[in-house]
Amino acid sequence: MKKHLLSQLHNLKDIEPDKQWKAESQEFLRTHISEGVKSGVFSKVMVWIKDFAKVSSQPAFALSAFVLILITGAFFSNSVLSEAQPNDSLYIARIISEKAQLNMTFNKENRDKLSAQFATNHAKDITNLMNNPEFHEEEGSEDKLANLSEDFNNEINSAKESINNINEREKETYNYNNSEDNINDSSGTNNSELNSDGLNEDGSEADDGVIFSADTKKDDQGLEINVKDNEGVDDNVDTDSNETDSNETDTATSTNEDVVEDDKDLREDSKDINADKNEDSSGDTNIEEENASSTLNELQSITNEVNKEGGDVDETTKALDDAQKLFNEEKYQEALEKLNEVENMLESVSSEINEENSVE
Amino acid sequence: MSSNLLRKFKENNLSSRSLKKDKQAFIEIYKLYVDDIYRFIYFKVGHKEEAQDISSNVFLKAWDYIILNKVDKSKNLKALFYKIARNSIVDYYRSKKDTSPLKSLENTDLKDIKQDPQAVVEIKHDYERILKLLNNLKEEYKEVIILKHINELNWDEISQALGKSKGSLRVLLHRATKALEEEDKKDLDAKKIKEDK
Repeated sequence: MKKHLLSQLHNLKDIEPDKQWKAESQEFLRTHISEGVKSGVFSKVMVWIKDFAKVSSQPAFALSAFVLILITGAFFSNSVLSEAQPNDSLYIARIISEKAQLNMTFNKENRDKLSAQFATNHAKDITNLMNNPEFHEEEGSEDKLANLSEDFNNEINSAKESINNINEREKETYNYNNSEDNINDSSGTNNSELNSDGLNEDGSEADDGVIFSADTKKDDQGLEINVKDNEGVDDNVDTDSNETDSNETDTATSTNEDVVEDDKDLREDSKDINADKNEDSSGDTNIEEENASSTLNELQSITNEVNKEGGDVDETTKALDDAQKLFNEEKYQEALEKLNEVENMLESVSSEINEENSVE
Repeated sequence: MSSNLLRKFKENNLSSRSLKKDKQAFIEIYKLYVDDIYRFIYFKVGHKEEAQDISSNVFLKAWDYIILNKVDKSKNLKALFYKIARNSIVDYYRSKKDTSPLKSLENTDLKDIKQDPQAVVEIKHDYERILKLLNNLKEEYKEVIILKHINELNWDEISQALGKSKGSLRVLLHRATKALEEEDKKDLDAKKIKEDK
């Protein structure tokens, strides 16, 4: 650029604002800055909202917020929708929210318990509705009655299935714990001294501490539940569930009988051991006797537990059966009372589960 | 040179403190930059009172942005002032119909002119001439000349203020300078012809 132009441009720097205006403007700015502290709270809130909006536009945050809303909505809607009755339009939404809640429950025991509670609640709602005279006066109630009866039976079966799952899981846990204990108690036997037939040198059976291998048709894991029968029964979802219930009851009973047989066998073995006691050297006999008596005690405790569990299953299943019978006989009030009993039993089962989980 | 470095250090220090919402530092920054901002706005809008109003609003808005954490702390505060000033000028142009450029420096204060009134009139006449030449240029040419040759911003500051790359700014300044020289030549030729007549 030409020098004279450049110098003229630089000279324009001499142009400055009015001094009075500068002072006034400075004072006004100082006042505005000082006052700005009071409005800072609102400004901070606006800044927070804007920052949140910026962050929420990010895909990861949006996805996690969406999932959180879904989960919250599922739980919240469940509490809101819990009052929906079977003939309401919101009943389907209630079913969906309950299913969502079940899917979000990762603990199997809690899930089965929740499933049983939901099924029982559904059965109660249906029974309540059937007990309502206004419902019978509505148009098209006959078709609805048939559908509701079928739904009721399905709910009862579902509740039974969940209760059985809880019971089976309990038994497996006892069996597993018991088999571990049996293996740990076999310290008195030296298996390296077994002959080629797997027997001790004197011909007696190798006592490795497992008591169920003798003559009980059970494997060395302890009590064997007849799983095949149970599965076959559960597949038969009939309206007439009496046969199903009796089979399940028989299974539980047969389990108890097997345990009693094992008990008898063990007592006989214990007698044999006592009889041989005088003939054998004192060291080995004492160890065997101790093993037998300890396993006998454990078996007794398992028997008691199984009887107790079986009894709980029996009672709950029986109550469900009774409720179903009363429902079919149109004695809805009595059916409701039975279902309330089932609910109380489920509460006690859930409290036991919670205690076990806390101990673990 | 050392005074420039000191000034630079002071500016940076005040700027960073202002961005951290230091009120006193912001007032000091205002004192440092108010003349340049006013001048920039004044050459663009051509009215003294409007330039004063807009200049006041520039600093008020800047403080509000700082309080609301809308300012990128890595950016230059001076560039922010110029950005706000440009936007305010655009708003002014939209709201006002009269966009006539500065024609007279009659009511304008000049800095430390210790000369007799006659000299002051002559000086003002020169200023008016150069301003007239500037006003004949495109806005973007005028802008870059004001920032570079009058307010003496560096390339980084101009780049941040105008939102353009340094390379394009250099090209722009070159074209603006050429255009200004053309206008100067035309004006001198016109004066010669007038004098000859």
